[in-house]
Amino acid sequence: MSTFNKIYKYSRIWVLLIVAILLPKWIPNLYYQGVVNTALIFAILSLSLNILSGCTGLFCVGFVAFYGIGAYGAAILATRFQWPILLCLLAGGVISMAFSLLLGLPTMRLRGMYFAVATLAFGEIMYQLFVNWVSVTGGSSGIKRIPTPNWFGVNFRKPENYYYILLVAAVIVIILTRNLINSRPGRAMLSIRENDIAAEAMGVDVPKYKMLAFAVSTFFAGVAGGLFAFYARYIDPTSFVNAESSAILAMMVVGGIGSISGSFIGGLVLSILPEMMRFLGNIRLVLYGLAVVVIIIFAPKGIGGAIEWIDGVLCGTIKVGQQSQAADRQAEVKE
Amino acid sequence: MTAILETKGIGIHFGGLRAVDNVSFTAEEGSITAIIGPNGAGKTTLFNLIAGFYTPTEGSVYFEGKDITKVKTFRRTDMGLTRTFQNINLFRDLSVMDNVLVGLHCKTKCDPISAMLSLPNKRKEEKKSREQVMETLAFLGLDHVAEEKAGSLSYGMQKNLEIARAMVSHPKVILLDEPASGLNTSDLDSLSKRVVAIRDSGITVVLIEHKMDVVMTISDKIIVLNFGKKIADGTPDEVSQDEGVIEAYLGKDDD
Amino acid sequence: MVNFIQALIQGVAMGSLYGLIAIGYVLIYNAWGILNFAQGDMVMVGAFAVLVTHMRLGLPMWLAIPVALLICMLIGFLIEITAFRPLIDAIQQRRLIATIGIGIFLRNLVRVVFGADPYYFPPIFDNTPYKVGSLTIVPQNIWNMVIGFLLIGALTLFLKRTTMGKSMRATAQDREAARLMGINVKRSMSLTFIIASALGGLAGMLICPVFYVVPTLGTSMGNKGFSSALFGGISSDGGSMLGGIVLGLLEAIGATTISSAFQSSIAYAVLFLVLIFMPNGIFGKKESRKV
Repeated sequence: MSTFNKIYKYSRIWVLLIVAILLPKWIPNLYYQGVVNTALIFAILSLSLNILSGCTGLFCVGFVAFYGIGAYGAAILATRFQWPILLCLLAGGVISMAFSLLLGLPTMRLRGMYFAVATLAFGEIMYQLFVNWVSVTGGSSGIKRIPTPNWFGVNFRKPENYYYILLVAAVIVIILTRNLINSRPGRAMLSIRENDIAAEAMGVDVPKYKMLAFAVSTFFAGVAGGLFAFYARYIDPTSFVNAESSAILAMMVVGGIGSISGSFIGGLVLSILPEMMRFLGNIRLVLYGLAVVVIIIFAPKGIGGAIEWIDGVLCGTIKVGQQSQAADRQAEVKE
Repeated sequence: MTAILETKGIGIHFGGLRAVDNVSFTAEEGSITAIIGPNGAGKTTLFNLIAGFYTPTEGSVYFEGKDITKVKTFRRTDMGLTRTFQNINLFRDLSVMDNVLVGLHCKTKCDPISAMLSLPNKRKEEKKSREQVMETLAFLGLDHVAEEKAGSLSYGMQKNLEIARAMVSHPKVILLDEPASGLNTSDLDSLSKRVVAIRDSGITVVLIEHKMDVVMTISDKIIVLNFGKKIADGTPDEVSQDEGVIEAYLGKDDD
Repeated sequence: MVNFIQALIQGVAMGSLYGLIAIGYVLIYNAWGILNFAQGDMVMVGAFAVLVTHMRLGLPMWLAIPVALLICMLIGFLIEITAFRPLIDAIQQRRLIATIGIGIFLRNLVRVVFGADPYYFPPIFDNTPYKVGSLTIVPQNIWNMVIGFLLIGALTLFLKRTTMGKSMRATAQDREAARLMGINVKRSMSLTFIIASALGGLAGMLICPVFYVVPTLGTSMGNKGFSSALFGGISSDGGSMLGGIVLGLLEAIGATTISSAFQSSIAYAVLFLVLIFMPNGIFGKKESRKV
């Protein structure tokens, strides 16, 4: 490890954080601030989904439903019951998690593909519920006049201020996820993704840890929903159309399955990119679909894989040429 | 010596095929028991029955005198019964360290909340676990590759990693499924020494093996299977003179 | 009572279309081991293809449909070689996302070319309703049923009786064994994909006169299709048609007896229950685990 590597290794987090804190100063207008804020929310969502899919290999195609449940939960508690906003955010997460238990307990033993389809059915049903359960969700006219936090005398109605709430939330979720992955329960989840038979042989209660991953990831998704509700101040079912679920999936996979930084950045990139290409009109969505396919085929580890590689080189832990060493051993195994 | 692991008339059939048929055997505490037999004799299936991956259609399995026939696989691991796999089932994309840390799953307690908040009890346990893993890795000569991905290791190293992962929790019984397959002569020698060392550390070993020289030198007891049935049972000397065994192996000395 | 019977007829007619879509999912699932989320969009492609050949190019219907079918097959083949074949050994998640990506691509490409407004398509068959007692019967519905069943019959015959069909089935069962038997696995898999695309497209053409043609047609139809496939058991070719009809019936009955607002929820709710209580579908075989 050279001096440069060391400096890089210890300063990288702080530099990133400072850039993130100063970012609103460089954003030219409110529109772009809005884009960045939405991107942060989706990055949190993509990261949450990664806890489920990246760690245990389970595939959720109805993830938006949990985001929606969190948003509605938080919004209803705030508007009808005047709960404090922080409590509403957490409650949104808890309600969302409760639904994941409801969905997960009977379906967790299903094999991968069937679980995915069950979540898709769940997503569609929840959407119908948001639209049709008018007395609770307000139907298609949604919930209006959701309060905005007013903490420490700061007006968080301004998007450039709300950005900091989102940033703090994102940092917390990243830290919690990272801690989880580098721990006994986190490794149990990863082992399920890698090889569920061996995981079982090592004493991992596979359905329990799948459920746990599902619960944690839907909790975060629910909180993200609440964050969206207090940011937008108005929610209606159009934000929770189940088709959005595949967008979140795409963010996670393009970012890199199983990679924290990757799935987070995947969320940022795939929400900002289409906005940057808005001048292209509808073609941007065509390109978006194409880009997803191209990245899947040509970059199996996604953006995260590339970032981790560059990071490794800069930290001095990966030397150029190491790849081929591993490949040699691999060839030996094949023989 | 007392029997720590015992099967009584255990059997399973898939459709019409009786893969394992009425097999009874005991493994004495602190011994090495080898299960041998021609290919397709039902050895791995027997392991899967003992470890709980298959539910037997007849008979039962006892562990420390308790009937565990209906106990789930992961609970058996909790009780102190671990295994390796013949066809290497590692967590390929995880580091060697993480692979073996998963092996400690049953011996550690950290819950998700203290994990996420990185509470002191988690950090303490984590530190202790890592030390324990390094010891085990050193025993198997893998300490220098602790941070590499399991999938990038050589075949022999992967075999050893399987053993490390199964023994790190100091189980009462370890089931080794063909630990010597694919190893070269020098590796074979160190493998034999390690298996004996594992036994001497107080872990009962049950292994499936094809390499007869390994089996004959290290085993305390040998069980011979053929077509799913047990055809012999005894010390290496007794078994090597058994006529049924010689017949079963006749013209099959491909190992 | 009359309403109920009316609903039954409607349900079976819709259901046989669902079944057609479902077959596409089943064929691809068995050959490629993956749920093709773009299959629904092939239904939409079929609808737009016939819209172009019949309405824009003015071909007569008997020519417009085969030409549109060829277009569907060609597009299916292109999808297969670009997004399926390169990923054949990749992990499940990447393959699924690729099919989702293809779906997004197709849907939006069509939207760019044709706009998002719905198109009206004239009835393919005579559309004057017949009165039988107090029941109203629309010939289009009957034709959909008949064509659906005929196609399933033809497909079954093709798979069971012809060499090509047999090698497709062998490939689906065990790719490696099929290769060893000297079957051209690559060709079998391509063919499966093309046939599945054609069936999806054809379902789209039959749906045209029933619904307005919009680029998002495939999403809803796709969901109905694979729900049917799972009802029937994804490992069973023949189950799809029955699965589709069950779904069609449930929807129609649900809409008349409960509420039409929840029509699509009914399908999903039932799908949900089937998954929980009969994970292998109504007709599927149990899949055993390998250690």
